[in-house]
Amino acid sequence: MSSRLFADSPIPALARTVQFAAARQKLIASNIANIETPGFRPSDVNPREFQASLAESIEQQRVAPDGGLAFDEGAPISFGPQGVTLEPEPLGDNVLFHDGNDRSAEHLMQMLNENFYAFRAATQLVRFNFGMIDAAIRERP
Amino acid sequence: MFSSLAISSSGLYAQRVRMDAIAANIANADVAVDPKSREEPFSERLVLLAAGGSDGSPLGVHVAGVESRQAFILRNEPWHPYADADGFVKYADIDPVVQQANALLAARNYDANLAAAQASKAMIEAAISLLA
Repeated sequence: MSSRLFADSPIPALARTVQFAAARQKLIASNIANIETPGFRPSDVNPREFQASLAESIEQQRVAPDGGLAFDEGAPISFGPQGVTLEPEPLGDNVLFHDGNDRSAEHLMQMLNENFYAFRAATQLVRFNFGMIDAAIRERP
Repeated sequence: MFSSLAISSSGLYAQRVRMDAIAANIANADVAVDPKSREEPFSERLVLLAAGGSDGSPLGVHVAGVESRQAFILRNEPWHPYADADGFVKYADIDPVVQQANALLAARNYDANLAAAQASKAMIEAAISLLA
């Protein structure tokens, strides 16, 4: 991703979106697996915070150690040698039930679907952009 | 990405264990306790779930244990071969209505984890389609 070939394309930003959605998928799957675990509080990373951090990093255009866009320290996501790390916060979007769990099943399924479509859109856009660069290299449309 | 499938399958497994316990409870709801038997009488099985994977990973769910509730009720059946001197027979305190409600919850939870697993599978396919 540090190649200048991709620097002017949306591919670095899309790559960060794909990484974020993949990491968030694990979080959402864990929230759904623990829908009825007593004392469990579902947590999530706000995608709007991620988008704001992404917009900021696009403006600054700093390169992270892994070659992609660098994020500020206040961002809810960090990219290290062991991969992507999220900093989730409790959702708290429902009453606390008698088992100490405050899940909202509908909201969790909504999060699941939204995250899936964000991932799918980002991967398809990456594929499209790679296709454009490939066509430019081959000098064939 | 593949670990999200493992997380969802941990949820599927936990709910299946729960369903097995509920099925055992319903099947044994009318089993009378033999006062002369040395075996431990059947009482309601409770599956304890806890957050975290079974291998210690922070995400997912695992079965922390299966406990016997050790709650019994007495029914007045003096004709029963297991009746005591007062004509009462000991049964496990299992309410089939409660067990049915728990079975519905476990089934719905299983469906939700299945939906999450299918979403993860579709994401993996979308990522693989980038390569080929």
